[in-house]
Amino acid sequence: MKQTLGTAFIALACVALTSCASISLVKPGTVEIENTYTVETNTAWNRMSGQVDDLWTLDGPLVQAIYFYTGIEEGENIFQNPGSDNGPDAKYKNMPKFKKGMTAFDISEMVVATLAQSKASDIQVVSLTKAEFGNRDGFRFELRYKDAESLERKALVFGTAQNDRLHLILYQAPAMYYFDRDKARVEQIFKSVRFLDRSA
Amino acid sequence: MNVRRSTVIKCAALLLVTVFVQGCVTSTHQKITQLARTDNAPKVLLMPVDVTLGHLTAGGLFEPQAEWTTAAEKHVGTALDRFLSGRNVILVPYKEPGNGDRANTHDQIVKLHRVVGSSIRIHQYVPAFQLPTKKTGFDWSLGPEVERLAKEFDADYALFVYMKDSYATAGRAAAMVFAAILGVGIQGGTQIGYASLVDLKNGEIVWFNALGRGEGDLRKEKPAAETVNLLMTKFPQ
Amino acid sequence: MNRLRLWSSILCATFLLAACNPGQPVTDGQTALNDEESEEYKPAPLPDIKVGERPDPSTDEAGLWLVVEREENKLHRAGNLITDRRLNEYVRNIVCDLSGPYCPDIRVYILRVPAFNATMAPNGMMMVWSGLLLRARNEAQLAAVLGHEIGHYLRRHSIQRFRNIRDTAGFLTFFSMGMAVGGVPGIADIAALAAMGSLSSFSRDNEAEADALGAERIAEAGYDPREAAAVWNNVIEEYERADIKREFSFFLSSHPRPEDREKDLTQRAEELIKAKGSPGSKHVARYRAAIAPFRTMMLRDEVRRRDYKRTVGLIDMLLEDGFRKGELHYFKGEVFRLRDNQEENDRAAALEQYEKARNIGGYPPRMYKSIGLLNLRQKNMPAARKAFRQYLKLTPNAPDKGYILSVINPSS
Repeated sequence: MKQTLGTAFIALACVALTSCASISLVKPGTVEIENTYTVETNTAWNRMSGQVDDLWTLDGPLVQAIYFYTGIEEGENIFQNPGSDNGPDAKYKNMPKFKKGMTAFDISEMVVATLAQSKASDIQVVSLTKAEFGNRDGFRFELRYKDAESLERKALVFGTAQNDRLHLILYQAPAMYYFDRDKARVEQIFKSVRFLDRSA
Repeated sequence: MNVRRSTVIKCAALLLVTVFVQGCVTSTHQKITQLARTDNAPKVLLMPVDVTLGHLTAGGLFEPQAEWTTAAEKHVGTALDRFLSGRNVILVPYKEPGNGDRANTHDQIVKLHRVVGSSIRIHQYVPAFQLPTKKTGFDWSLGPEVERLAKEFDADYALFVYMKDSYATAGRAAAMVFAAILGVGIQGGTQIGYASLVDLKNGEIVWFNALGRGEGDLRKEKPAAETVNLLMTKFPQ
Repeated sequence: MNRLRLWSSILCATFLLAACNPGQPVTDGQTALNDEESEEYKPAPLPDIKVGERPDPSTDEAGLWLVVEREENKLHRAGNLITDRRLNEYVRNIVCDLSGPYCPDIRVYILRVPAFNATMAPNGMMMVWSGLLLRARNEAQLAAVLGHEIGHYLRRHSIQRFRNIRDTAGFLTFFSMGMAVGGVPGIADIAALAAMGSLSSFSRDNEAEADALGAERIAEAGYDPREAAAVWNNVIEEYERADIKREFSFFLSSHPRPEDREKDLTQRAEELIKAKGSPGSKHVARYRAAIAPFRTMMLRDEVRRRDYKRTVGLIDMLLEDGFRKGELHYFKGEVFRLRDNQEENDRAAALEQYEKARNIGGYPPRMYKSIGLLNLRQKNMPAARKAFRQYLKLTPNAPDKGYILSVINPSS
């Protein structure tokens, strides 16, 4: 989910630049995500780490991205940004917040509303099923939508709300060519989640 | 991701300085140096050219100018036609189809190219944003769906052109100083753009040229031809 | 940062951003210019636009039209454009009625944006947001808003405002994009923002002028001109019920005081009625029939905003209005269910609303899923199962069928 594509990218890019970080390489193998779980990948990815999330991409975040949103607590929205009454953070104020005990339905509604507030349009949930996230009860759903430029996109969301914390992995890509091209790779990443012993 | 606006501006500037300081006016990436040629001349579908000309006001605002833009669209079209026919390439102009579904798909292709083109412009040209997985080779595609353009227009390739030209107004004192520092002529303000060639058999972007400089004039035919020649640097034979 | 880089920043940032993402501004969510700025600068009034007029290509006005035309081209393919022929004809007919000889110069686009707004660009492009269609109670109210926008168009207020923004804009204004155009896909730059027009952020004089023109036009077209004041009444009440502070409302803080407008419009309406000798019509039934196929969608979009208090206030007002109350109770239940505030006893409140909806009728089948979810939350499995089964019976191809079945029939 992004502000406008351009904005998010410039912002991301500038975080990378100012924090002396750059885009790093994820080599095939096991990778740790936000001190919480590991995933495995057969392909190399490009990685940009932010303050509250981790972003993987093959062709740049303007095109597609896997977002790892980890450890969202009660009362927080997906971006873990409470927002403000006005100013640049105003848009976060009304974004739906996670609550303990939310079901997969509730979370899918939460993601859809967040997308809608992020200028996506024509959002449809295409499927929703149970899934194992690591060794925890989780869910998986697929979305279709148009982004702020009216480019058709698809998204896959994978997550769990067990243990009263929300972990989400969201993959989005243009519906034309890109989504299907990498879907299998992304599914494989989803299936490979293993929680670290020390994590909540 | 939330970053202070002033930081964004500083960063954005640093990014471009990197490119400018390297002294590149145009920079090309390509997978082919030759177009596929059979008995017939190759056909290149010219997608609607995305050109905007305007004033750069004292406040740094880009204010589009209709007359200039209309003239530029015409001159760029003429110059591209001349350039390509000079190379024994047939230019096929894009026409929006009457059928709504087809028009929608074409529109999605153009939008996808805009996104991929922007990504190329950032990740292939700005060292700080290079994608580690794309360090070698030039590997970008719009996917096989573009084959429909090949069928509908009987074309082998599609050419996308984007140009944004700003012309400094009299009140640009800052621009004068900047010009003096960098030794850049401010006659034409700033000119940026890119051109990309897509192989319609498979959707691969086989040639991409980015342009960025402080001069150039698309408002008149001759200088527009000069810009287009520059834009088409290393276009496959 | 050394001097070289500083100057580079100033000049280069502008076109790097353009290069990185052609036609996309950086947005920081800041609201658009407010009323104050347009107050300080009062450009000379312009002659009215003529029928079929196009600006000379060398003018700044032509530059504005160019930008607007490009945005209009994008609008044709906008993801949230409502293309339904009947609804578009309905709105277009009202616009034609009000604009008379200018009718062929105006093109109407209805967008799915859950906010109260209509805009009109100097080239005759008019946008109507679905949030307006949800809130108007009758055709006269819709006509009042559209008539007001036509007033801005006729008096060419947009070019005045564009010149104001352009001439006073600092560098950073380039990056501002306000709520006013928040729902429109892919706005290119500040010129487009200025060109798009808005119900808010014109100068007070311009707003008063548009109000006057709009009121005259709707009276002439046979509508009850008091409904123009009613529109503002409803806006005020919605904000009051939602406890929204004026300074934080982009809409309210950038408008002339709605109370003043309402007073002026009421007075004007009385004069117009006296002059005409008849009060004119509201056309409630005709309006309801026109928006009926879209009302559920518009309410759902409103709920998605997750502005709970405000939406409840709006729904309560719509319940007073009385159109399809069953549906309204369902959506009120949805707000409580999504807010899920234990202190407010939201779960019980939601179930109560669903029960009301069930008794009245006119709710969507999805309501049973909501009932199921609530019972699941309250650990009432038999009631949850019953509701989910009913939902699946009514919607056998539900996208979340897989998940629901695994909830109803958990494998041990």
